[in-house]
Amino acid sequence: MSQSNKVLICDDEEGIRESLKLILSDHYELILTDNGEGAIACLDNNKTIGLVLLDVKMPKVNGLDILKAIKEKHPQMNVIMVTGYKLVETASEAAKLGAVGYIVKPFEAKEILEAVRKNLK
Amino acid sequence: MTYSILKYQTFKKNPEEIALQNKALRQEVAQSEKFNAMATLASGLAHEIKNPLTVLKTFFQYYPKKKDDPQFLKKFNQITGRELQRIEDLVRDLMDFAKPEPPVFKPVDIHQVIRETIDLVQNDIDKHNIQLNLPLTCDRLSLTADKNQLKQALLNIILNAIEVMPEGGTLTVGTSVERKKGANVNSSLPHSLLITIKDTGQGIAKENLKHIFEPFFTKKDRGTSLGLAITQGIIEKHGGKIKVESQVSCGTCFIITIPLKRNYT
Repeated sequence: MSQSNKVLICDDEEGIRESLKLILSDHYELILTDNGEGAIACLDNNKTIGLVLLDVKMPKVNGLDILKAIKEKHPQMNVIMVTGYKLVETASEAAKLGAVGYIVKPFEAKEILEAVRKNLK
Repeated sequence: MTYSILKYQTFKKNPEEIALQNKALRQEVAQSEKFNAMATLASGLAHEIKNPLTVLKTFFQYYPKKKDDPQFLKKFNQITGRELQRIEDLVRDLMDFAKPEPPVFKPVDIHQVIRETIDLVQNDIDKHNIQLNLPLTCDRLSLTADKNQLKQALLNIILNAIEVMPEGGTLTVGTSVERKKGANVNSSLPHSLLITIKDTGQGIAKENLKHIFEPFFTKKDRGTSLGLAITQGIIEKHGGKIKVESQVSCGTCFIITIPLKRNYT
């Protein structure tokens, strides 16, 4: 199976979505959503997505709950958590739930590019 | 075992020694609480700044490469301006919270304060198809307060209420007077003013309710997460109290009580 070129970005803040778009859009095809339900719907309807960049702190359903739901429905999907909190508990919880990476804001463009390149399926 | 040893040691000391020891312990607890509060504040502040900082950093980093792209420039102006404003709002709110202006107490008509506060957000109320109810107790109700600070306190709650009803709902801002029984059994004296602000939004989960006046505690999409902490500070400076009742899926009600006669210092 060939490698996907499609990345799903899920963050409630437009500024962060646009920043990730700025970093990644020259290299990858992107789908942007501002909430967890939208992320799951995108994954259900688009089988060619190869990676999810998921915010941890979101207002309605938090990123860890969304991660859990994604892994239940799409166990093979790679998910990288993006967060403002550098907490060992959150990072270890994310790893336990199956996240492949954990990026702390403020991030560097090269850090994002490297993480996506490594984990895109 | 440990308990009995401590108890034995305590009994062996004289009352002055025990008092001194208790005082030292109280100071230690107060100091530790102060450090915890500072740690929470610093961590919240860092988190609130990280998002706009990330956005600004990325957009400025890509500016030299993309500055000739009109679509990028449009986004650059729109997004960096907004994120800078966010940091400015945060710094202003933090200053209001940490070192608030001393209140200037004057007689004010609370109903006028409420109406003027509503005027500030009338456009948002209309935009979200929110029905407004104003069950105000009578035409004019005077109390001694800092008008601008009181407006700020009410505005923070009303803005939250609007935000939790994006698809419409009912916002009720009401007043009533609590009366205290007078010397004569049949008479009663106006004692406190009660302001209730109620929304029909999604409500707040029980486990979050006790934290909502803490700085940087938020489940909201927007704002600096200091609004309710500032509101609580203002109400307390007016000698009042604020409490909140909420039911998930039904809505939230803030109840403010301010004494009508009080010598403010």
